Amino acid sequence: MAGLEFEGKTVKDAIENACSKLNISQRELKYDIISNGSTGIFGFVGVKKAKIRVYYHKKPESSSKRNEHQGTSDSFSSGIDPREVISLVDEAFSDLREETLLQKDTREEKKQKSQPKKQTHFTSADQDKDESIDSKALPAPTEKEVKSVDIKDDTSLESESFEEEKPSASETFLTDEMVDNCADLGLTALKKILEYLTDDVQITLEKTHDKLLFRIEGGNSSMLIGKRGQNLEAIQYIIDKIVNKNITKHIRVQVDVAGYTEKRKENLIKMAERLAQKTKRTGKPSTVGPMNAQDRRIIHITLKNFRGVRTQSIGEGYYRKLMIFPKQANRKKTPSDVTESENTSI
Amino acid sequence: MKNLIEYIVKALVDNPDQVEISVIEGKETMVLELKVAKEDIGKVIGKQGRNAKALRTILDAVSAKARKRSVLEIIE
Repeated sequence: MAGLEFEGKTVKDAIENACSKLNISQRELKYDIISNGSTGIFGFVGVKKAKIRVYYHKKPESSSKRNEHQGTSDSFSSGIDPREVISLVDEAFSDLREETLLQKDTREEKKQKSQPKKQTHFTSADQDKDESIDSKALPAPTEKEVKSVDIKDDTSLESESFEEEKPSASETFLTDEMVDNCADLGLTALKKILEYLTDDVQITLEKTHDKLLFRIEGGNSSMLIGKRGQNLEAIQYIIDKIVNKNITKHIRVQVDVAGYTEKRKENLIKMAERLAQKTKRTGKPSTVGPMNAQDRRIIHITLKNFRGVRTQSIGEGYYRKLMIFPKQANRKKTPSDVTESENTSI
Repeated sequence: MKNLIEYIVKALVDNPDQVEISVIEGKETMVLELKVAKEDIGKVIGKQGRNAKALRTILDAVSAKARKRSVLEIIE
């Protein structure tokens, strides 16, 4: 019985190696695993070969083979370094070994193919990080990046639609006659509602081809505005509905009480800028509570050109809220920063 | 108050002649029961209940002036 060490990329390979060298079947082979070996990262960093020690029993075999094996076992018994023998055997079976190695290589290549694929996907999503990130961190950032790209598109679309509201409406604007009709309708409805709420009000009307603005002065303005502007919002909404009921094109209706909407707009812009600074400083997204579409629009537009943050509306209906995110590419100043700004401007 | 709601609802629906409002007066509260044509219910309630919410807000504001509480019920 002799101990002989064999190496291979995996234990299985080492066994095959041993069998081919000793010319016996795998069933006959008795061995201990010395080390399992590892393929390392991507098969080129920290590769360890698997080692096995084979215990080989001499068997009565055909004479020629027996002689051959006799020789090898003799050399062991006479205390010659087993590595030399291995090299000898290697030489003898070099062709065979090369073949098995080739097979292994193709297998290894197949394994690696799947990983580089991921990498290319990753690089297409984000150019500046791919070199410094190790293999484990790969999948998560990829998903994130893809998501954020989607989100970015959404926001840009949203803010775009806000901006394009006016030009698109001007292309298909209502005739003056229709605007006048709408204005009359809105004015009578507004008067009707207001007479129940407060006395002595003056209503002035400003009309453009796509917007009606009713300014209300005097009277009990706190009653008209209500808590957090909810009465004003409700009145505006109802008037909007009444005015837009019988026309195909949409005309915007705005009701303002004693400059309230202007003040609110200023407050919102201040708040938006404050939150954006905070988000930029802390790197954490911040949320602006549920509010109506007009208010969200103001914040979106305010922060559109604010460097280092992006905005998005999340949720449905009444619970829809606006979130301010830090821009991820801003952490590093790289060429991707340029592409980022291009994305938002598109 | 009833007139106001009636006016607004009639302006919103397709069949104004089928709008019916009955008022149940209580000591401190007042319940307005609103009946409209079947196909107009959606218009009164609105998307995500926005129309109904706006109506109720206006009703609240108006009834606050009269120092009362009002409830708007939309009946199928």
